Amino acid sequence: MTGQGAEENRYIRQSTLAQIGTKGQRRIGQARVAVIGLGALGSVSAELLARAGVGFLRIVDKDFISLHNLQRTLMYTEQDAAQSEFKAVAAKRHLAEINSEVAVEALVLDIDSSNVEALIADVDYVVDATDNFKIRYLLNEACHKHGKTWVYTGVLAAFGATMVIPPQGPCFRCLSPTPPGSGKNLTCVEVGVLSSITVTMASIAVASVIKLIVGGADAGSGPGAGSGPGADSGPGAASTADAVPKPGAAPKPGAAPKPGAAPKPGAAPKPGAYITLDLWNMSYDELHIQQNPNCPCCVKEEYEYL
Amino acid sequence: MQIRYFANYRTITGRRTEEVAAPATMLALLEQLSTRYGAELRRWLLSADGLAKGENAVILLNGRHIEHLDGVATTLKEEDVVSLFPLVAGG
Ligand SMILES: [Zn+2]
Repeated sequence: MTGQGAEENRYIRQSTLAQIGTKGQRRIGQARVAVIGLGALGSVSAELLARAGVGFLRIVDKDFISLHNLQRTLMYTEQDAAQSEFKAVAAKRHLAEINSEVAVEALVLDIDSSNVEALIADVDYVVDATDNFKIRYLLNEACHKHGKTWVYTGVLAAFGATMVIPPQGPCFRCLSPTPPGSGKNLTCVEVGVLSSITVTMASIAVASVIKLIVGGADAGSGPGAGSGPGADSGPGAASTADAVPKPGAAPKPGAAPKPGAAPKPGAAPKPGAYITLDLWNMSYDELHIQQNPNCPCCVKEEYEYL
Repeated sequence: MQIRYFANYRTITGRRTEEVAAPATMLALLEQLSTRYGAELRRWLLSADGLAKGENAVILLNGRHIEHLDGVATTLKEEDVVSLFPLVAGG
């Protein structure tokens, strides 16, 4: 199942998309993505990325599967829960059944400042599917340090939020300078979570990653690619009103698409675009987070959590 | 000035946006909104002593987090837009 013909056939509905095309599909096949956390957001993200044919997936989680996970996770089964299998181990097995062409590295790991950089240094993009702020502040700094774009996603009850964070910022500390306390009514344990919001937010995060992967100027082939209103300059170009990267904080090689390789008009996730959804009240909003000109992370490169 | 509510703040206030006369400072605005909408909103927007923002509240003034400005002492103008939402952790 590795010949060109088989590959074309497998992904035909995806590569037929004008926005992706055969070149975009090839880029997906060469892409390396880390999914950090394998709960509701992570199981959906990993499954979608594997089905899309991402070349390499690193999946990381320290927990095992419980019966109460099954309400909102994909992939996992009652048998996985009965055996209290580690999420990373079960996910690797299921992903191999879903798409054997994807190289999956599964890690059962408690993420801290000593190991976070190794998780993200050799991938192209990082999907945050964690359930806590401690790891998000670590990811924020590690990804900035290594010039990686990561995608924040969080959910609670029936609402969720996501934001693509490129190395030039605005970063997670521009959105929230310090981690919130453990606080009240902040977790899915306390207030619950609707399965549809986790699937929806993970789907948006994966769409962002796919857009970033295929975003080069020569990707796509069909009539829809390269046309359409609302052309904007993408994450590599520096001077939208919402995000004015400091010259010294330029993206590092291999990070966000270069200014010369502008993504398709309207396709690239905009830096600073914070998307928030409420599925119960059916609302979608996009806010524009401004970069803190004195941000310790994305401007000053002072890493306080690493 | 305009106030924009997101996520559960919309449920609590029953509003997406509203126009209010700009109080002198952000703290005065948070106090005013907490008084109007009650204890649940107050619990999110303000610290227990009422002197700082709630620890999980993201409060943006024209897209800038107020901690990057003068915090709750940030002064307000009629043309300002304040966006209020909680930072969500679940995954
Ligand atoms: Zn920043």
